[in-house]
Amino acid sequence: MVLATVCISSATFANGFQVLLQGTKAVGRGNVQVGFRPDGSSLFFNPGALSFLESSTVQVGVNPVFSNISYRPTGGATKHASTSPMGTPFQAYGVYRPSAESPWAFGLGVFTPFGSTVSYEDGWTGRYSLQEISLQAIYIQPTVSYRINDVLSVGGGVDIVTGSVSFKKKVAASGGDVGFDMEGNTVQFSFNAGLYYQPSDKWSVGLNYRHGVDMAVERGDAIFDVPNDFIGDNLFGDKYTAGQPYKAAFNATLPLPSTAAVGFGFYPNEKWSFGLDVSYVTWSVYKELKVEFPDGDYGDIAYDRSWEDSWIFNLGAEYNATDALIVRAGAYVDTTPVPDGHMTPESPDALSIGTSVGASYMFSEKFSVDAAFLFTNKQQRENVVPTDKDTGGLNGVYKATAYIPSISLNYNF
Amino acid sequence: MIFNKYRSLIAALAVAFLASCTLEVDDFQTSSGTDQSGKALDFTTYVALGNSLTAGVTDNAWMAKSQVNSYPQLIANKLQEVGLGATGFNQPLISHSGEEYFGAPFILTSQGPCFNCKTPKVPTTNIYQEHGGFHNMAVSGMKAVEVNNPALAAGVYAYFASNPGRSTVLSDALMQNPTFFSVWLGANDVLGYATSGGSMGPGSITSQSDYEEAIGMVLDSMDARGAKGALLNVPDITNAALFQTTPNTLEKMLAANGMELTDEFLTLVNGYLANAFDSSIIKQVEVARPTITSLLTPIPAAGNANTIGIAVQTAPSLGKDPSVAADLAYTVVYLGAYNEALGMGASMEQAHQAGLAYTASPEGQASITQLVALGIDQSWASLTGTEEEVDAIIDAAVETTKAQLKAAGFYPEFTAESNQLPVYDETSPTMLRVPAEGTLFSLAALNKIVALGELILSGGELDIAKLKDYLPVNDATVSQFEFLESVDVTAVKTAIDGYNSYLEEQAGERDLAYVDVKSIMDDTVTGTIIDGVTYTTAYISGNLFSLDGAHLTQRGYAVIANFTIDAINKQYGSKIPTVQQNDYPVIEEGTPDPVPSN
Repeated sequence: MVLATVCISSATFANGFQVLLQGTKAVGRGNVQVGFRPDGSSLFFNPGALSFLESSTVQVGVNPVFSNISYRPTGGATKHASTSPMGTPFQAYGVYRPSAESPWAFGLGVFTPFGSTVSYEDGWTGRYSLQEISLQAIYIQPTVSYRINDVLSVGGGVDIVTGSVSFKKKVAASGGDVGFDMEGNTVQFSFNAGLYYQPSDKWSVGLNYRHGVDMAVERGDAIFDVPNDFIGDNLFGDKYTAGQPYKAAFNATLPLPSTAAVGFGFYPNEKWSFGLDVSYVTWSVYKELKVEFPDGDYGDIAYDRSWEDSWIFNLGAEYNATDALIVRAGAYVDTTPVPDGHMTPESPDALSIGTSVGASYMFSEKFSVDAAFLFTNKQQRENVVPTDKDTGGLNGVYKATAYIPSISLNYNF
Repeated sequence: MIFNKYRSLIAALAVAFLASCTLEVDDFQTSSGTDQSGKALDFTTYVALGNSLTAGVTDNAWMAKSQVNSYPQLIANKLQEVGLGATGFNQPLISHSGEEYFGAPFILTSQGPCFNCKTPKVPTTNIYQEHGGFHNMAVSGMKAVEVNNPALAAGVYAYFASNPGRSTVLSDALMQNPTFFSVWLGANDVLGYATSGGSMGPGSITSQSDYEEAIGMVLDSMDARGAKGALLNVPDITNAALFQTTPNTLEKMLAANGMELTDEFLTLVNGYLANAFDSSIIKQVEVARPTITSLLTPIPAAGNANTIGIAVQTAPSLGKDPSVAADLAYTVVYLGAYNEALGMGASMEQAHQAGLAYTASPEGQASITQLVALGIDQSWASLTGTEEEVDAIIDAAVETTKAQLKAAGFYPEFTAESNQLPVYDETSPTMLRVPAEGTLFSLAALNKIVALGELILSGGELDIAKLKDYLPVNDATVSQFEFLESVDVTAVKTAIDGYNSYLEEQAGERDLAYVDVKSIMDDTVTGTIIDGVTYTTAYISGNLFSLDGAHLTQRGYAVIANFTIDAINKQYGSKIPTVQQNDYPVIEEGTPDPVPSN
């Protein structure tokens, strides 16, 4: 009933381009992990906690995302739904502990904390804003953690961030819509640092900072598919070849924010555990989406974003049902970074509430499976495009939801 | 098994998720709204009055494909969709005739717009008996003042009139017993004038009182039936692509070639024009060199006085003032004829009469004018006709002529502030004239100005005999109208403002929705973005205007439908859903008719 109320009173998925799916256990308890007792995913959530692991561990997991964006033009009666394919954020962590007593932990993680996959039906009314976007940032993070004493440890990692973007939309033109596809790749670097403090069996605290990174694409490929050759000549002059898609180089930067988080774990008895995380995400780095054509093929595109910093509050609980089974549940609230009037078909953002359940089953000392199910629900929100700025968006009412099952395998050695 | 213990809990949670969480946005909630008296609006029978813009004309023709998406049809579709009415909305479909269009459509091919690729077609039948009872009574080309004129059946109205020659658009509309209506009339009351050279052509602007009378009659008839409706005002047709595409200033012409108007360029182009004009002016003045020389040469028989000196002395006896150039010239011309007559043996009295007669003749007058133009002056009495003296007189005359031509606009001299392009003018000595700033060139002159731009930029030779190929022409004798003088532009704008203030006042008085199409269109001069599409008045690239530059694209009409729906919803508190304008095309690519083999 509590969950039901939450759903009614609120309105998908993580806000901005964040993907809050880096550990199945965390997913099952409202994405709480920063200050909670560690597992392999702490490599992401808080590398400081890794040296508190009792053994070396390997964890791999996947989180299929079934998302839906529902849209209705302002004043219009026709509803549209996104046709986004299933997203598959994944994570893999390997942590080596020289011994249970060693102050050191070494790890390597691969995870996808930012990304977006959204597509709409061909010819839909918003095609001049977006037809399809696929954005992915894969982080590869070598990590080290050191336990300073029995209660305090620190850790950090260097991130190699490989990003890829594919963005498709249409441009209205005489002679038929011009197809506009952009594709680009980039590799950037960032870092992550954390601290973990566990003064007693009853409670623990964690701090984590993940540095932002500018995903700058240099000379990506922009392909213009112009149905009418006269229009092609008008747009690109002598460089245009009749009947051929026109290829231009573009530069663009998508800034990814820094995240600062604090978390608490509370363990009143052997059966129950509770956790709380609070994160602050510096989405205000995303001021505008600017696409430049360094060879002058096409006029620069500049969409106003003016995003704002956002907060995420997570709450979760676990219950050790048996020695082999843990069940958990949780919820989180994700404030939106997108100011009024700046919603777009790729970011139909609104206050988002995530509710989740999960379980872990230990088949043996060494092998366990985690499973979780997360439902994210964004509030219905109306977008009225500002008249003094170009956001590339469209007027209308959006509602976004997502079902996300999650599964991970753990092997301790 | 442990799962059994929690199965019911998990199932309950899953049910809670699925049952309580709405996954879609809210449904659209419709409502009919109410009029001022609180009565629910009745959309049962919606009737539209208007011209080509209401009929759905696009690309210079009344097209079957765009007619089915005319703005009244789009509104009717939405009324039907939510069950508010307009169920039998019936248009006089072109497809009933078996044709795809009436008129002569322009098409966009892969080589650009083509203005003569389609065979013109006209309706030859009347479809009323078979299909009649029409709700979109828009007639292409109809003026507001023709709404109740049976003679309109001489045109396309004959295709769907209930009784051609007797019925009127208004009477046919009223026959439907409208409960709701829209009126968009007035553009043709100024358009014909604007596209036929304004005051230089045969067109006229409908007077304010005639406009009010015609619209008033329509509104009274609707009021009498208790019908509510929407009034769409008249857009400023001078802001349409029709008049805004062809550059009318040097600055815009350069901008169209991606260049800026710099001081260097001004020097260059003014030098280029001087080159073209000065030699002919000098040639024209040089013709008078022998005359000037002979006027200045001392005559031994007259005590070495020259003709001017003699004229200065003679003038008073003829009642002329030698210090006045025209009087002095008169006296010189008189003396020439007088002396010639004497030489032929005439008496002094006869010679005097011959002098008087010649000065009054066209030839004499022309000579007087020529001398004045050369700058004749009594100070010439002291000259002796040396080459230096004559050169100085000719140079001064050339300068004077240039100044006069410039002042009259016959010799363009561009500045950064003022660089209106000239028009063709047969009455000008240079065959061209710079009209007042703000004179607009129509789309018909586009190719000429493009050619002019290429000529100037390439520094080619400006052939005065071919000016007609480079400058807009207004020639009523051949119905060629390519520009609208600034003063006529103002007259058009003033008339539109007058019509619109009447419409706004009537909408207020009669509780009707008022759609300010003029403001909507004016905004597109700088660009309006709606759902990712930028609408401007630019030709072909602006998405709003069709290939004829005056009528809208289908998407443009959908935008009009939405603004109309918004205005209705606002006026009456109704909730009629809007149209997805992006579902309708802008200018589409077309296929030319095959060339007939003969």
